Amino acid sequence: MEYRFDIANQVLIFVVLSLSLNLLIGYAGQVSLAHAAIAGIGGYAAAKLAIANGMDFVPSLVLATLMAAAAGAFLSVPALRLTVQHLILLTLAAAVVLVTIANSTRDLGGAYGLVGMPVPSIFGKSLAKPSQFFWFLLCVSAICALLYWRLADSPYGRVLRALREDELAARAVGKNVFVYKVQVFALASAMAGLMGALWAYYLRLASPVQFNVTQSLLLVTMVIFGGMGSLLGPVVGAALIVVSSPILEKNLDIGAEKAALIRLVIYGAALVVLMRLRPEGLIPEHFSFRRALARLGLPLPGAGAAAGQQSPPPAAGAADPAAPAGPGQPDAGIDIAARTPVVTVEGLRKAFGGIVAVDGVDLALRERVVTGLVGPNGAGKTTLFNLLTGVIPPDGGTIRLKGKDITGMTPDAIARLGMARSFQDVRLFLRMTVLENVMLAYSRHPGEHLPLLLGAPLATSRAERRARELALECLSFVGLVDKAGMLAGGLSFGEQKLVAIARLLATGADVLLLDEPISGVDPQWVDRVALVIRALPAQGKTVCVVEHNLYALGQLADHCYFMESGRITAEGSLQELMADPRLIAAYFGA
Amino acid sequence: MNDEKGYWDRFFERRLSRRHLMRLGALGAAGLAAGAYLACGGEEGTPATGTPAPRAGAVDLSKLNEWVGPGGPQAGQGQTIKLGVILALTGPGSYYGQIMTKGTDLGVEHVRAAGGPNFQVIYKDHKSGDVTAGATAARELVNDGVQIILSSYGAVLGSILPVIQPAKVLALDGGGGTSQIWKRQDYFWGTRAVIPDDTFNGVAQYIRRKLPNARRIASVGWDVGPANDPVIAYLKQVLAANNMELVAEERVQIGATDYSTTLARVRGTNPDVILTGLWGLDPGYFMKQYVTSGMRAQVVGAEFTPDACQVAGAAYDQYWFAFDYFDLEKPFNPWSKLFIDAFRQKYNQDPDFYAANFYEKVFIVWELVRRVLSRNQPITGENLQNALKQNPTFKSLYGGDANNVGTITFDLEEHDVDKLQVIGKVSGCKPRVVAKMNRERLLEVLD
Amino acid sequence: MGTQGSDGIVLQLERVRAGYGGRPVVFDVSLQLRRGSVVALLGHNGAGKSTTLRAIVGLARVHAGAVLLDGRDIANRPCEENIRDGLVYLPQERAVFGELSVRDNLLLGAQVVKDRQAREQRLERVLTLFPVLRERWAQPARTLSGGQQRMLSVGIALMAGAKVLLLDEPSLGLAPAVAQSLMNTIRELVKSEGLSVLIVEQNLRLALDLAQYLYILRMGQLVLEGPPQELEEQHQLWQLF
Repeated sequence: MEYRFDIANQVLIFVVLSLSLNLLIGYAGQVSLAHAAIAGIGGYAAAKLAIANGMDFVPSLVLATLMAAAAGAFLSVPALRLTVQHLILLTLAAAVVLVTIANSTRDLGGAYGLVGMPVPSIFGKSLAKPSQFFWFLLCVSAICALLYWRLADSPYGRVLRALREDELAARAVGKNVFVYKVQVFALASAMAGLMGALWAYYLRLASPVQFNVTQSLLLVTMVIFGGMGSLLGPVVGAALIVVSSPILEKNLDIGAEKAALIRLVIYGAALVVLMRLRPEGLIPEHFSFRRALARLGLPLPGAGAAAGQQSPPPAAGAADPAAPAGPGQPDAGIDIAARTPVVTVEGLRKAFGGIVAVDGVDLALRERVVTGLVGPNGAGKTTLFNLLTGVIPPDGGTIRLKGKDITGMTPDAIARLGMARSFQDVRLFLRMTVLENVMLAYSRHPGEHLPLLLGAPLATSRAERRARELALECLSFVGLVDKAGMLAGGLSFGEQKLVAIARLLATGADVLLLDEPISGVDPQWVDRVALVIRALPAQGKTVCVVEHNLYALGQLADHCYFMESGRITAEGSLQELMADPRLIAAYFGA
Repeated sequence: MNDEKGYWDRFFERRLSRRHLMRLGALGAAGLAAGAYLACGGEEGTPATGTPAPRAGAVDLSKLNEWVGPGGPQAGQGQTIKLGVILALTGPGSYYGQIMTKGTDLGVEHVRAAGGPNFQVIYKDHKSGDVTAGATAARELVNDGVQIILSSYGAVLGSILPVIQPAKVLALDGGGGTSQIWKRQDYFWGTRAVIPDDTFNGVAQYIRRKLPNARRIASVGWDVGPANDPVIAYLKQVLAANNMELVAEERVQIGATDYSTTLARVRGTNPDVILTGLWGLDPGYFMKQYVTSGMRAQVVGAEFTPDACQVAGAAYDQYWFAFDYFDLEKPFNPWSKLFIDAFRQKYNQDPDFYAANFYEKVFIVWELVRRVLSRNQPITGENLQNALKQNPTFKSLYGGDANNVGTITFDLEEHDVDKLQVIGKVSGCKPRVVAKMNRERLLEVLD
Repeated sequence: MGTQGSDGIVLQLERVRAGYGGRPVVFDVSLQLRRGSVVALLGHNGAGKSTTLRAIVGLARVHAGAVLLDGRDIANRPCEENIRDGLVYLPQERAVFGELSVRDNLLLGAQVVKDRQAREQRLERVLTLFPVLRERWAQPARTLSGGQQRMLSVGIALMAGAKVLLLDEPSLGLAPAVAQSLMNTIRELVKSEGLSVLIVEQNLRLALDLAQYLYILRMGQLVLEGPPQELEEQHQLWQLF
């Protein structure tokens, strides 16, 4: 019996370690090869505190957890601006450094590690035997798993996945990716540190080999094996890998010496086979047990309104009234100059090397006006949007939003202040559902903030309902309610553009910058989209549109700027601009 | 002009998705597989066990009882006793694991033939120093009801002790011995000299005799953290007593293959002799690079194994070694000769010091079993240890003479043994004993 | 180059069912493309137009049916073999090599063209069509604006010396003037080189101007086909999909 408890203990420790690593890799897309080393910080801290300071079991666990969390947060700081491949190198280096320090520091016991840890005990009860340790470990693991589940399967986890999919797009809908990265590193590290401390107490020593790079790679393998970004995947992956070696040793009657080698071969082969057959791991991210049951022809408990089934057909019927004659003209009557400018740009300049992309631009986006930005390819329109939304810093000039100088602010801060943008190349979160894409844009969601997520579950679920309603509303605006449950990556390009508009609407921003919202959208929807945009000023929105489809722009824009070679060279209504032969020549060539 | 991100940034953002991570995982698996390959590589040094079944009767076992004591039911004949063995079966140290396995198996065979108990050996792998594997192995053995464990590797011992001590299971280590840090541990006894400490007196005296001008001694040893400290302190003390001084103390990573920076630093101190505390293949790599360094100091290592010599090649001809070497050329005593013959016959290869130690340990265990049974006590770790404490002297393959087998005696305080040790030289990967010594002094100089 | 059908059909799809993984997106699509003609594939977003093109060129899996190039079934053949046989595909995304210069991008497109003179000639035509590429000749492609990158990817496709050109929304993101002159160039190539073009285009006016025959897809199935004039007379084109 003790033997089984021993294996169960190892399984639990590795399950929680790989769950915490999955938060990093599978959800936030932050690949770390230092996870075992971080666990080692917890392990060594607990060992040192227990041996040198005679600290009790529980307080040393708490301190070890906190120290690992701090180390994780510290590690995340250089990671903030790194791309994935650099992050891998950084964490690998960090792991090697940590193990080397442990190996060569006298006070940490060098290669032999810290030995002679006391038998852990809680409420005077000894946890010396595997079976005694098991129940305590089970409780701790259950708490960790609950926390993991609460984080992963929540608005918070949704933001993490958005981070993984497209950091810039996540910032564009107002998510402060830095805060999330630091948090997720600290959280995952805390869990790892706790498990490292328990692992040390279980073996009653903390030594470098327990926490070296091979162990980190093993953890990564467990996560991949089970399925990255899936709730249960790492549990299965870790359990299978830990259990496989005793099973192989017991059942293959070939001696430990050969079994150890065969096990490595079996791991390798299994990983290769898995990559071929189930590239997303044993339990892929969007695996649903209900669907799997359905495929097997088994009855579903409470089947029915599963995600995104029947909803009104999007096509002709829904769009009917104004099409195809065109959704009417902009209000000829409005006095543009009388409207307050919401966004004012003065002397904005940006050069890339020798090319001056934006060269002293002045413009104003006025309240509840749709402003068009026209000009030949390469005129600097997208660069202007990037400057306005803080994606790139300007070389000179100022940008004011509602009177506040926002020059040099971060994209997410600008988005939270009420100016959001869509991208020419769409930038949806492809491995998330359409509904999730739009729900992400819902601002001030308490469930996206750790303390509120954990402390105010009711407010969170209320907000989640509101976010869902809002998202569905925005999706029905663009006629894609029936695709709500689909992965965004499965949509056609035109559909993705529409979802992007829905996402932009859901941000609730007052100033919307649309980069080619219509190109790639089919003609039937062109009018629909134009109608949607046309309706925005009535809702108090200020809009700026870059678009080459002049037919559509003509229906949309109250006012247009003509941009060429980085400068604004004309402004007025589209008709006025297109009446100027010079502009026609610049734009239409001939 | 939308270069807000570089191409590679975009590339990785978009493409470094699951599939790439899978590749990363595969890399990890490849790493593990490479480890496995290394483990296989260790076998090359030792000719395969492809000989036909042992020719029974070819080795005369009839004298065995005369040397090591009587067999029969009162000595455990007919009883099955579990014997746990935790070795480096895989990984870079798998040479040790294999040679120790062979010594153990032969010992078990001979004990049975001499009318002793039937030892049921349960082998466990500590993967060449993985403490997790070591602790797990120990726990599994304890859970299996094993009362006696033979182990190797000092680093692993730290993970085994917390398991065996509360369970009161006796452990003997003939691989690394107690070294300095594992002395005086309840239920743990080392059956090998304290290495390299126990060679220091003899080596210093031998150097004084053979290299009278040598004053400056350098030390290059495995970095095992704080465990180095008492060793170095003792070395300084011994050197001072012999009018020598320690001019360099270099620590290197276990398993290192590149010693260029170490050698450069050592050269700066201009030593006359370099003592190395390196094991496994490491002294082979060290010597290979040392001979090209231009230094003329004499290297005295802490071990000789044929596979390290294969790494070094001709460079090993300049290598001296000092440890509790098991002499194949001139067997210490008749039992040693029998062991060598039987080993060669069974495995078609030469035994080494490690094989001899593990063979010998099986006989120590048998002696303990015999004593416990003679008192009608059950075979438990506690009873076995008490039997050891009551009379710490055992028959040994080491020492003795042409007619008498040798003995070893455990130090009841320190839990270690003072074993016969030798200084040796190498030519063409053939080792040759040039001096014998014990922990205190040089006993005999042959060359 | 192979046996060409006597009726001048270069590319023919017979009841093709295609999709990604195990899931078909396009069902029983049959169509024909004659030498020296332009055929347009129309339909709303997600109707399966892009998938059809990708199935032809070998980037989506053909589950059933045949894809005949010069009468030979090329279904599920590796993409690079198709390109070598003159079947060239312009994807909808910006398909440029960001770190390579504009020049290297274009020359990569001409990799399969052996004849140096033909290569120079094509290069000249692409640069005439998109003068901005000449200005940006030595710069890395990633520094181009979105629209310019689009021009470059069209340019790469034109460099390949295609026999059959599959274009997925070539006018996407191009200013009207540029889009119009691109269509003119295509028309010219069709006339002078006997190029055959299968085009997916959202810009109906451009498509109707260019194509001699239309296929209309809806929910992955062909619902209507015919010459543009005929279809325009019979239906309000908007309502077709």
